[in-house]
Amino acid sequence: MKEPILEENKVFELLVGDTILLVTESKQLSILGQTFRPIFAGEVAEVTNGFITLFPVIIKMHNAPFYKFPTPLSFPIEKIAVFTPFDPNRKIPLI
Amino acid sequence: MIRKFHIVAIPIRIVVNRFGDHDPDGMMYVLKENESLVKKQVEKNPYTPVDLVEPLVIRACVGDEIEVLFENQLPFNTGMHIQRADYEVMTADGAFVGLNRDTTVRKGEKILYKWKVFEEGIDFFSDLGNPLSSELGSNVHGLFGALFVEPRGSWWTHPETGKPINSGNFADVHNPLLPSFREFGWFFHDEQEIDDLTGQAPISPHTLQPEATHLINYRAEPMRNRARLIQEGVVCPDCEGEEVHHDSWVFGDPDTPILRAYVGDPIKIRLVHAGAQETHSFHYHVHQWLFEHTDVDSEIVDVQAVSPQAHYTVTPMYGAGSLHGAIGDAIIHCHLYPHFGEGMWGMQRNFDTLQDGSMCYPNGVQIKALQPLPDRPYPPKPTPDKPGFPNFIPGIPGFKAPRPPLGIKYGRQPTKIEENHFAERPIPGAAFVNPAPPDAPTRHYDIVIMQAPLVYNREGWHDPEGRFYVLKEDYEDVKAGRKIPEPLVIRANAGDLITFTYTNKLPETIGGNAFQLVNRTYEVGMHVHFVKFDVLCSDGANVGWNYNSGITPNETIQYAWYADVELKCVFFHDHLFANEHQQHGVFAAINIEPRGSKYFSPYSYEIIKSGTQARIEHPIIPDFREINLFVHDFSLLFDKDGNPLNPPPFPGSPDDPGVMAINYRCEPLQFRLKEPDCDPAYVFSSWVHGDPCTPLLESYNGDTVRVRLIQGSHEESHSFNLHRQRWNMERGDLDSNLVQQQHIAIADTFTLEFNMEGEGDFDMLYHFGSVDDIWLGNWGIFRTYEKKVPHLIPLRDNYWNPLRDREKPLPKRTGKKPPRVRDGEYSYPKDAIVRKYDVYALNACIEYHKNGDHDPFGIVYALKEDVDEILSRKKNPKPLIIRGNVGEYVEVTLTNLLRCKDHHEGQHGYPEVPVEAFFPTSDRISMHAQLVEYDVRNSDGATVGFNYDQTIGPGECITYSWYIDQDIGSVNLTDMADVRNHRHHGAFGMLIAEPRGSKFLDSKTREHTDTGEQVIISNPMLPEFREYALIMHDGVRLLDKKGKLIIDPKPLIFKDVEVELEEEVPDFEDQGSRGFNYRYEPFRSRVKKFRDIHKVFSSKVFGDPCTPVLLAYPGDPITIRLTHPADRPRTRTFVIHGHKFLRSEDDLNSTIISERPQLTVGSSDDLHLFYGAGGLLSKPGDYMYRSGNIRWDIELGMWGILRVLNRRTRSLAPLKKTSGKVKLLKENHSAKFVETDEKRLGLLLLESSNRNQGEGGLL
Amino acid sequence: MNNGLENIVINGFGSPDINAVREFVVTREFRDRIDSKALLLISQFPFLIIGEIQNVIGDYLIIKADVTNVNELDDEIFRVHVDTIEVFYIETEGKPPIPDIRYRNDHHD
Repeated sequence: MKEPILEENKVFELLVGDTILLVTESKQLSILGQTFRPIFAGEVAEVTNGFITLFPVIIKMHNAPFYKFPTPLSFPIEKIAVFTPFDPNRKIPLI
Repeated sequence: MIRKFHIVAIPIRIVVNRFGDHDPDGMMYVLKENESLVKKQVEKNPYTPVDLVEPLVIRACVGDEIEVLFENQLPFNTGMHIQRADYEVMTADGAFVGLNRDTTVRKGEKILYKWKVFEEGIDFFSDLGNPLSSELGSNVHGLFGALFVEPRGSWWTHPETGKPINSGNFADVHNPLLPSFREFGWFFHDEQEIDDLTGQAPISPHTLQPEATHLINYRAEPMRNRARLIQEGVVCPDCEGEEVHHDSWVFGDPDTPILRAYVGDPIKIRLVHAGAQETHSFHYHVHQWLFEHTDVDSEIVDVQAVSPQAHYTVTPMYGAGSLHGAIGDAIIHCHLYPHFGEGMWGMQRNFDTLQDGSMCYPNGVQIKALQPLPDRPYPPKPTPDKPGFPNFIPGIPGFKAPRPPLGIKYGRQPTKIEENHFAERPIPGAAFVNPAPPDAPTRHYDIVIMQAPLVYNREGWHDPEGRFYVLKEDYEDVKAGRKIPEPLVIRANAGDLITFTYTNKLPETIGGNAFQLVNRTYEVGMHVHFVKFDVLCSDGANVGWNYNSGITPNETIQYAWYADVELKCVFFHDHLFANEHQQHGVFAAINIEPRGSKYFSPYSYEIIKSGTQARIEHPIIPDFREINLFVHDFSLLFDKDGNPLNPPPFPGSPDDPGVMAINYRCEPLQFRLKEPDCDPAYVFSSWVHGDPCTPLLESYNGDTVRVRLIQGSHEESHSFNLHRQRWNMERGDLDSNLVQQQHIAIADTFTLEFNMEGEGDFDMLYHFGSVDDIWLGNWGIFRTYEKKVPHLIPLRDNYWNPLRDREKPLPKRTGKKPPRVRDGEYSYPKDAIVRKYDVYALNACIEYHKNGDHDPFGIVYALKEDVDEILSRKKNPKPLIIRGNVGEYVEVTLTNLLRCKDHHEGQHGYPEVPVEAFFPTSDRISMHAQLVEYDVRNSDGATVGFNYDQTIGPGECITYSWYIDQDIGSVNLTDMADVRNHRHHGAFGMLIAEPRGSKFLDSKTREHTDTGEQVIISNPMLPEFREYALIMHDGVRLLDKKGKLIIDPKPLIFKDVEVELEEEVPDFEDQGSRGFNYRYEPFRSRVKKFRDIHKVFSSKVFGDPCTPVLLAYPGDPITIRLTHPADRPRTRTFVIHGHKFLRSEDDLNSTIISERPQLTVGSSDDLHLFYGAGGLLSKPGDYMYRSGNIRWDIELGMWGILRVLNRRTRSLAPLKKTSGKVKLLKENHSAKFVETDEKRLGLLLLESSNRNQGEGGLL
Repeated sequence: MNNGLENIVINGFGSPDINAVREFVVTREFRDRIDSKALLLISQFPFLIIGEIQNVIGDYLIIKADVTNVNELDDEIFRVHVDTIEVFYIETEGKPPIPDIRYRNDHHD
């Protein structure tokens, strides 16, 4: 059963299929001790009323800014700080 | 998982380059599986480097257990001591310490070590079976290596073959959840005695004198060998040497490491200092990284100072080629120029086309295959039209690299193939990669490099061949003497594209005097740090297969830099003849300011284009005062009569020639004695002498200040100290340590940002703290005003709170002693806690060792109750250690009981300083405290500028009042009345700030105590902990029990073995004895026979050392308070066995280490040891603490023991139990085996074991 | 239990509280996927949790960890406050599996 996307979440629905840059709330995250600012870029694969999923998705680690994560990643909308349509191949400073 | 390695320590001939430079007595760790192969290969290739001969690197993943079967084939006991990993000290320390059993092994024997690793990064290992500093020792011959710990689930492959490997410095590391990266082990090491092919010390063809060798991974590519090929006419006969030292077009690639990658590949360089003595300065062109690779708030750096046995993971931002994807060769080197010249460099090579082994370098040497990383895009294959780096560059092997297209004025046209490799928008200086976006604002500077005499002070110390950068518009004025030069500082904003024309107006030669032989310096560049640039065109250097981006006389080149983000102060300097003339002043900076900044003169409303001091205005962030301080050494100055100052043993010698300065100025202490008293207590006083000629820094109280600290030249470490004001060590990270001191090596830069705190007008001393520095004049005054002065423009933010007009005129030099300070009438807030200490300054004999080694002229601070016992020699003094809690005031009343006695009649002698001169001992004394808050006008403990006198004469007393506003931890206390004569005799102490509400208890009786190096800190809100106060200090002048002067350092001599000892006068910075807390334990007092050397730390054999034996019970929480108040510039590392701590104690994201690097005069730190005494395993045993400097420190006695006791003894009271066990409500139901229903219920019921066990619990 | 959005808190203006809806939908997603494998990134210790979703109680996710950043916590059953989850992935057929890093490096003994 697919729920209709609420009006308040339309801002995400419009982006399905587009690529975005997305930053979440926390100061830093860590995968197995590799720390990074939570900056992600990827294609919006799915939008629900609670979270959106990017796939393929790049974690913009400062030492590997084009690291393609092996799985899709979902982001609770309440945890998203900013996002913007974005060419994932663009180079940007990360500090 | 368990990983098993069989490692053998073997003797091996180490050939460090293809010129046959070698160590015939090399030693290395090697995997057993490679042992016979490596021996065979070395036998077959006695004159060329063998790939397998490299420092051993093994790898494991976080969480792994490692079993090392260690086998010794060297003719003395050896072992493997590992840092940071967890292990049992009794079975796997790789040393023979205290009462532990011996975990080194004899020749032919084996031992099993077990380690467990929990943190990603570097676990350095080295031998402690033979820690001698001389040729007899093992470390200087190469007996070291490292375990690199990778994220869980990683595996690693050979970069050429893609096959799994078991050891090796270079590997590609892969992980299913993380990007693959290229890993490169980079071991700096020094003091290895390298012979040339004749078996003699290598001779420099320039000076014709023997020369040292500095190495990376058992390799060195010194200039001497390459220069000889030029002199012999084999290659580019028109070249000089240094300008082509790194040029692969002339010589082919060096034998030192070349770290190969494709543009964009993630990289981790594991930087290890495996050497013995020097603190090196690691610099990597084009790339930047976070100081703490575990912390994204960390400061960005592109230089890392590293002291012996310290290590850092260097993870360049954006991977190979940085943000802009620069292809080409990025040199990596020790920035200390003599080391650089003596072989300590390699490079990181970034390819833009696939290398499958089918291509060649321009000189016909095969380009070895490089497996693309599996998760990166496949690099394009080379084609004839687009062969990729380096094969599009139109050079000729055997000749100097060609110059870049577009950049040189009136230069050549690009070739068709070059054009094929151009960036989309090629511009002069950025032809192959243009880092700036199309719409970046451009800022342009025209810069000229020139030569003119530089006068350093009013006594006429001068450099007749001063060389420096100037703006083109200032060139004529400077040349005509109308404008006095200072190091060039220009500015740009974040986001600016900065373009330059750069013109060479230097003479073609330099030298021909006591300091330097005549040398050509016909070519010069402008190499920059931090900003983004095309390394092929704008490196300002001549590296590898790149173009040569230097220029010959009267030529002009265009460079382009892009400042992608706000940076601190960005260093630029020459890279073609840097070792010959950077010390003459060739250093400058561009400060990259926040976007929207405007730059004004501090003294007018004029916008400025350059200047070391500026007022930065900004519409959004607070305006600030900006001050650039360049410290420099090897300044080759002459006095007013033309005599060289501190000339080297022969011209061109790198043995610490010349003097030191700040921004081309110095104010030597020897000129600041005023007759008739000639009292050193007033050397900093402007009342007596006027202001020094070093930069006078000025502000209004409350101003925001950014000091941009930088070292311009050449080979020494320095230690910046500022009185009263404090800053976060990493500017952008508010969790980083609050400090008042900063170690700096050449090319390091730091921003010290603070708000000028204090009331009234006052002067603060800034100084580079070592006695050599201060003596030679590396100090100055920071002056701040409460009321308006006509010459200094207020910051705009002060408009809201206008400065009041001044009623009294500013003080002027009187030539008389400064007025005495009014002290003692301190008022405190109601209910303030004031902790009072009555301290006496005494002359006292300090016995450093039970064998009678002593300092009869010791100067100590003592509490009143100890004075009689010390004076009657019933008590052997220890440094004063006092404490206060956060939120308390500390009042120290100091009384001077000095008897003005010394060993010299005005001229100090050993331990010497450069340019010795008459300088009698002061009988005055004072006490200066770091990091606390106080009124500089009465409690600074120094007589500085126009402040009143805060030193006291014999019989006088003074009271200082300090406030501990926050958890500042350990604090250096030092005398400032006579830096030359008092400090190294013991005139220092430690103040420790404890958590609010703490009680300080004697570690034996648990009774209240004010002082002591080992105490219990008890606080109702915190676990009790043991506190050890350790003061590292050097420059000590000792006599033995017969009264004979002990000259340190000297290598140890043994009865049972002969060794050729170098007849070398030790550097000034190494002169003197050293220890912890007025105690030392030199090897010479223990071991007489070489065959016993592995027993040197053993208490079973030689008894406990005289240095503090720190006592604890297993698991006791421990904080080590570590300070370094005195005295020399030699920088060292503090190492503790079997324990680890956070680099920044308040920053949980900072790296976990077991060594505290770069300790020098003014350093202070607080080491909160993880898991308490005995480490994670809480194992009893003896854990050594020590210096990491194999050369001199350990051998001369800088080591001691942390003893974790097995059983309770009367000499150590237990800590109050503040931890209890937690038990499940239902017995036998641990969390992992909870039944499904309960599990789904989702809660575990816990209760404290309090009731059962009578101990404190969780509730 | 009603899985629809109708019963979500209605705010003072008579429309659903969008913040509560979003949190609810995330929680529901985990509840719908019990027994699947999930990867969670949280900014708090232990930062990374990979494991099997066992249950959701209120807005707490019960997950049996296979792997975390801290080896010692492997196999723990964590109760994770769903609202703290910053990034997640629940293994789905037809999409890439979560790599298992626990036994990757056996050939390196």
